[in-house]
Amino acid sequence: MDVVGRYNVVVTGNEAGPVVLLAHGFGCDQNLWRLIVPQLAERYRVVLFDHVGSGRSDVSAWSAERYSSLDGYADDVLNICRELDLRDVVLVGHSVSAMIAVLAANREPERFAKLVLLTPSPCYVDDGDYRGGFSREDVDELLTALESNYLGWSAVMAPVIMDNPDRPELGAELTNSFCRTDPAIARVLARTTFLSDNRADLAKVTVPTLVVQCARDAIAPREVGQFVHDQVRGSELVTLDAVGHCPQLSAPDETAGAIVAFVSGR
Amino acid sequence: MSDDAFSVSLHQVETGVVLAVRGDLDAYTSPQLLEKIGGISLVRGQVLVVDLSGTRFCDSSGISAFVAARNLAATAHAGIVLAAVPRQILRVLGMVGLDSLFTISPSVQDALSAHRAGSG
Amino acid sequence: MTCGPGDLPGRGEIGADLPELLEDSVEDLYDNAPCGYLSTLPDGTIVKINATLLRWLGRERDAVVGRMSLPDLLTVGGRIYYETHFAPLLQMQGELGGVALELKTAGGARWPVLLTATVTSDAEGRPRLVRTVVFDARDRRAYEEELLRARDEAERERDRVQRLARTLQQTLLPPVLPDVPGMQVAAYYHPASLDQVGGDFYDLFPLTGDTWGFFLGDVSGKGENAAVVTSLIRYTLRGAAVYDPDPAGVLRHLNTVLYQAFEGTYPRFCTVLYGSIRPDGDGAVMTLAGGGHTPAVVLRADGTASLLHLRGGQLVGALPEARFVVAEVRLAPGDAILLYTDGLTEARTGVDSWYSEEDLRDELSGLAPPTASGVIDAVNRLLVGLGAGVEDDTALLALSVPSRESGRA
Repeated sequence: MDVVGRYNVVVTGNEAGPVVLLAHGFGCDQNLWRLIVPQLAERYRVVLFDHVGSGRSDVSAWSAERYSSLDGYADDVLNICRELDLRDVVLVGHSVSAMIAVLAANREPERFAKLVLLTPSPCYVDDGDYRGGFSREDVDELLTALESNYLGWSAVMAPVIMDNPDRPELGAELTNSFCRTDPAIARVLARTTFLSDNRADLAKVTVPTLVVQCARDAIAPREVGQFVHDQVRGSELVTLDAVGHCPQLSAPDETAGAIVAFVSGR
Repeated sequence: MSDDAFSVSLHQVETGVVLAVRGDLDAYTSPQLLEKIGGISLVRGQVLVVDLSGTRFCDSSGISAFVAARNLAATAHAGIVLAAVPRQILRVLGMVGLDSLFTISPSVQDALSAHRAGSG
Repeated sequence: MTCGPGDLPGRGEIGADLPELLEDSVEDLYDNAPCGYLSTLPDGTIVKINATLLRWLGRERDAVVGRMSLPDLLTVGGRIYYETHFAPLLQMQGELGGVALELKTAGGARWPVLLTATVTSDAEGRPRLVRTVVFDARDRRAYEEELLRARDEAERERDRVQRLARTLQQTLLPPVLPDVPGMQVAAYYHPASLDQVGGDFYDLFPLTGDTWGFFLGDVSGKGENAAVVTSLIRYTLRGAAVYDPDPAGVLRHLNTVLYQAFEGTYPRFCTVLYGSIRPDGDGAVMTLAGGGHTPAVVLRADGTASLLHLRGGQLVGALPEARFVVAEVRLAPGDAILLYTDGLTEARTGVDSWYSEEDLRDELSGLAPPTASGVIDAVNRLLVGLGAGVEDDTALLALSVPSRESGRA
């Protein structure tokens, strides 16, 4: 399968504009960008995709081995750039994809014009003086929450999907139909997301970087955003007057505004 | 797969016992046939007729049931006849060299009348 | 039958209690409903909560309203789930149902709940409030945990059984075939089930001088009983092969052992081909004894194939005196022979049709020159093609003499 099919790549917007590649985070798929895509599309060539194992990506391309580290995902981002011949890319990574963006940009800095790290955290688990906000036990608790919800998910979804394997659109009619993920894949992604430590990679970033954080975010608290800003040399920090981990949904205008200002500036 | 569920039934007749097998004889069904065979009582001069008109297939474990039936009949000094044997089972019996151990008859009626003629 | 308001039973006697019985107090209906109600601002701040939910949480209204947000009521893991799944989904869809999370009570206990939420919007379509219904899910969660535990247990048990069956099977088959000078040998075992030990067996081993012994067969039945018989057969054949140079004599010995071991109980017997092979000039001579087994396929260097019938040979262990039939075959350079069990030739190809020995012979003709590994590969492809039709275990053993060209190479 080609990259477009494998990652469910969608290209939209102003063909003459700079390329903005949007990488979604843990828990959902490219749908998460939908409130800011219209604003970005006026100026930029917007490229959306689903990580392997999420959304409408090709699930058969997933393997626990490859995707048990963020490097596998960073590989995929570079793969998309190469196959679609994207250059001077503005790479926007949300949540865990902020660190995936950092890894990709460190591997092939010449490919990227700018990085936008949206609610990033290089390390979710507390470690010595570093406060990521969570303990190992908290992460285990999350895995339990995931498991409980997939029980409900499978009860509702499985009969529909299994009885109609050739009619996947039926699944889309159901509630909670965004962010469908295979339970086993979600588990591995949750572990990879919350147990990775990419603090050392921040200092290696050479691409101009914007860090966007929310005023109140239980997943990536302000001190973590500050840490990222301090570690990435020459980075800019914008704190949105927004609550939660997904400002592209809760404060779409402000989020799009911050990205536009950074991409168009300088 | 066969549509028919496996079953075995026993009928006492004047000159002996008719054992009717229905369905495939394989590793999963043969123990049922063996169990039925274990409950048969024959006396000297009677005949045990195994009616295979309702079965199409038999593997090596089905053969073991036939051997058990043959041993039972031999012990009682009774005869044994396989009636209405399908082609595939004849073939298997030939393959394992047991076709000479059994009298083969085209039908249960033929088997019973041949036995009456023989013993009468 | 119709049923109007006038049919309400006992209406006339209710009198002063009427408002209460007709649930006229919306306030009471809200506060003391059998579920929790929660209203939050889009940022999660709690603006209204009912008495039922406060009771579950063990908290006072004043300590919650305007002071806490919905994620504050959750366990930390649940909070991550809320921020990464619940909130984004709710914002995108405007409603969300049946999400399983755990409340954390003031006393520190966990209270499993199911959340269903809807967003209400203002005139411009901006989200104004989120209304959430909270259902007590303690019983359901306990049940689910039990289900999960039972599933894990069943999976572990299945793994254990399969491991055991695999290990047992391995003890009944040679781990690797030995190298036979001047010959190529190959074998394959296709288990029909991962949970059960199959009843097929084969072996290849050195006898005196440059002679080698080999056998392949099929025990009636499968599972642990068949494994006991298979083990007995394997050791009996190897033992008898050492002192009896006559392949029919080896099978007679096996017949005696099996007949005596299982006489009177569930009849246990096998069909088997036993043979010995030794180099002869540029080829090899094979002596093969048949005990009621499917005929071997002899494949010649020119691509022709034939069945080696040993008609009259009887199965082993069923009769006190069994008859065995022996044949001698010379394998010239480029010739091969295939021994197989009836898992293959009893594979169904239709409702009333089975893959036959003749089908196999025809399938394999044309392999020129046939090699042991080439023959096994060809049969393997065949097995894959027959797929679900193969209901029994299948064992394959092939021997070949290298062709003159490859022999010199």
